Amino acid sequence: MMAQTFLETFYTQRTIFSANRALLKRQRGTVEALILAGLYDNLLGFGIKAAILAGFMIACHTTVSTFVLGLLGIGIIFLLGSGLGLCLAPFSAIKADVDKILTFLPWLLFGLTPIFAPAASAPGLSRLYDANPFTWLFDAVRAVAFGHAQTSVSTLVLCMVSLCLFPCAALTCRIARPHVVERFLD
Amino acid sequence: MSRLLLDVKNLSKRYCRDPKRAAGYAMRDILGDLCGRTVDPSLRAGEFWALRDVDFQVRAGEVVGLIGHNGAGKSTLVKIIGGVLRPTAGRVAVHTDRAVVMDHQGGLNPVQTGRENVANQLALYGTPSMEIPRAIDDIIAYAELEDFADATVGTYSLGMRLRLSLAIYSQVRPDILIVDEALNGGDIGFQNKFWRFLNEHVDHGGAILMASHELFLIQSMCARCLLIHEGRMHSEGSADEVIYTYTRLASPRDKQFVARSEPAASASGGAVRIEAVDIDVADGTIYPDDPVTVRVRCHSSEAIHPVLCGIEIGGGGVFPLASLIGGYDGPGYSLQSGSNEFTCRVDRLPLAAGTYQVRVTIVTRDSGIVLASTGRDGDAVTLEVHNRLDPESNMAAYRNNLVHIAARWEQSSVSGELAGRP
Repeated sequence: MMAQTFLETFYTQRTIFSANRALLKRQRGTVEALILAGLYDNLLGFGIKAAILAGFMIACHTTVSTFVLGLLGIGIIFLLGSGLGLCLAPFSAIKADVDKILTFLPWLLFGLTPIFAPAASAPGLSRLYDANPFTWLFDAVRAVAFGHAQTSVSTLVLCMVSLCLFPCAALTCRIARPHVVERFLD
Repeated sequence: MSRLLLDVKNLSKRYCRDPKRAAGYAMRDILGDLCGRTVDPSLRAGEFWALRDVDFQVRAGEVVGLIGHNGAGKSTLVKIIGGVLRPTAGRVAVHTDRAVVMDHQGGLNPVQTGRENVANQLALYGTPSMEIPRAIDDIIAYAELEDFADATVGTYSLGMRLRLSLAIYSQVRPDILIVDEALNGGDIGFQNKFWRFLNEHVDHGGAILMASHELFLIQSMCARCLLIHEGRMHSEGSADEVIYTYTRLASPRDKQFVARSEPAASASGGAVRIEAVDIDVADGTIYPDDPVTVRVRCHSSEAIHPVLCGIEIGGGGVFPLASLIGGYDGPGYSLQSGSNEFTCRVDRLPLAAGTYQVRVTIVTRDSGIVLASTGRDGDAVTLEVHNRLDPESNMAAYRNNLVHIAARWEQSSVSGELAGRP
């Protein structure tokens, strides 16, 4: 669910320029509207996931406080995915190569997290896991949900980065819009 | 003086021809903007000025035409004014929040339905959300698209899109309407509706900046006109004057095209050689209906009888447009050994403004054997007819008319009185 949330938000915001080129080259001031539209779209998906998560948690007799913290953790991933996607959206629209790399890279990074292969069974992979920023991201989100004391600093940093990244990235897109649109002209 | 709505000062815009470099420049410019660096307004490798130092103003109640050849920079200018592009240097000040750019796509989103597009556009132009549902029905009815309101705009024809966008803008009631070739693709019904809308818009104090190749529209709507040529403001003035200048600028381009289309091969050889074709006119400039004299000088190494001298004139993709054959209605001419000259006098040249090709051929009268010809292989002879500074001539030049027919018009009233018009 963490991976899916991240990828959905990342992809939606990363493609705001390339997916809306017809509109962007004829209208000014639509970037903010497109960002918001992407957010609402992702929130809908997030809401559906939260409902499924709630069902599992009820079945597993999870406490309400844990559920809320879990949602908060996924919320951080939501903001981080959106922020990173927005940061890279102008460059993804300008260079087709960047777009292709960014379509593939997050899947590769998620494939190299301890979720898909247990770290204990492959000692060589553990170094790779440590180098993978997504491992760190997932650990921090788990820390939010389960209150692991050893990762609380990284969790705080993650929260701060996520909160700051999104508005900064939205500003980047606003500044980059005319340059990107210039590349879209027929 | 009426309210200033649009103020364009020293506007310049550079583009890059090379797509690879352009992507690199775009990334560099984005990072530069993020770091707050000021733009260096000079050309980098592979770049050119699409617009350079353009200045003009538009005030309330004015209709300003914007004309220029393809690639002159009109659409770039419209996109900068519309806020879609950012200028490299200079500034655009739009002193209203109700400025609308209407292009041939109407700014509609093809994946949304007509109804959704109307709602979005109205919201974008600040219509209160309470008023939008009622306005949607009015707009759909005005556009006469009731049966297609819930179909995606991508399935609409170009004319339907234009009707819908016109209906939206009639509801938005902008202070300044910027029209970029919006009439192209619309049927006669749409054009009449659009025409009425523009007139009503101006009557209500709105301003229009109209970029178009429809010179008839420009001439009839615009009191003032701007001519953009190779990215620069070439001239500004009354529509008649600027359209006259515009059609004059087209002449050298046509001439170059005619010259390029002629293969560079040697002229005719043999017993007869055409040495010169001179087109004489009283004051050096040929206008429609002027008297013209064409003199053909040739050299023959022997006496030949009978021969014909033919002059063919063509242009605008039609060749020959006219054939003038000397000696055909009689026994023909006799070529003497040595120099000879044929003179063809046309009392009123019935050609419209433009650049024409002239071919001269000397043939034997009986068998039609070509003795010499020119204007065909490498030595193009051109006849340039200039247009007069009047609306009719401007229109004829714009329509690429080839023939000029002098006519007198008059209107009869029902009572039988005559209201003459020269």
